[in-house]
Amino acid sequence: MSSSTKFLTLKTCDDKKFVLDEAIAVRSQTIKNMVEDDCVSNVIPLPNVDSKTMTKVIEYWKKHSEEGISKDMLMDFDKAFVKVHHSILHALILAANFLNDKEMLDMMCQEVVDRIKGKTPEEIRKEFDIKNDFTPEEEEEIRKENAWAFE
Amino acid sequence: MFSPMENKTSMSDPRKYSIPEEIMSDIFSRLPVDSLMRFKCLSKFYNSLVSDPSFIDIHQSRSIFRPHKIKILAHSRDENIFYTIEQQAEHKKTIVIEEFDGTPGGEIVCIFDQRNLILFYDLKKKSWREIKITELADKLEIVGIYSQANNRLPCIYC
Repeated sequence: MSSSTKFLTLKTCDDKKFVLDEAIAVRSQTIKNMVEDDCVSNVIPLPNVDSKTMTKVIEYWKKHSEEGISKDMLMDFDKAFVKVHHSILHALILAANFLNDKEMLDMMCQEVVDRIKGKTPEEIRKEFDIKNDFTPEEEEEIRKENAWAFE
Repeated sequence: MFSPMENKTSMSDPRKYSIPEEIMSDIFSRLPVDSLMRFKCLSKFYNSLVSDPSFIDIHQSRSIFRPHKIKILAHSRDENIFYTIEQQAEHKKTIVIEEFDGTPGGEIVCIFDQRNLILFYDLKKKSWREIKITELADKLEIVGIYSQANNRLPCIYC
């Protein structure tokens, strides 16, 4: 490695520190902007990301930054990577959004799509904590209009 | 608090991660039509989202390139025949072709996948070739795309 390798220290909301090669950390557009604007002193605080989620994010970044890794290997990695409990998946989506990593966010969103497309409205409400603000009559009306989609 | 000693089976974290509406809109724009219609009754927000003209635009432009559950209705100008072309999930080049109306023959075009790849299927040779969009402009037109799930034509594209 060249001697110019720079390291950044990221601090998550639960006060855990992660030291990471700058070349990898700038997969986050948010961090990249901070580095380019020269507003990185010692530690970059990530107030919206916890350490458990950040560990997963870094695992993803490192794998996707490996030299000489084949597309097939990355695809296998990605497939395994998204196989997590939905609460972790949601946390990763929020982290990818905050860190502004479009590639990762896109992959996570697609995983959510694949998981929810066959589900019932009740299951979706529970999973995403969506409050039903219809009256029973209003809901019945909308369900009737779209009855074919429930077959 | 999360323990740094990771335990794979620990799923007892009670924290709820509420996904912002803009990301939910993005997720919804990738859903097939039947799921969207089913999810209209989730809440007032989702009911109006699904009916929103700008959301419909985004959904349609994504639908064209969605890699499965899509049938493309194509029209051969030479023979005046309509065909449907269907891409099967996970097999990028395996496509079932059925006549829409008329007899098989000639060539059919199919546009799909995120690379904007255009595949040309020769029904007589039963083989595929890739061609540039300009070469086929006067031979064939794609007249519609419809979802396999409900056999409807949600968009006209030609």
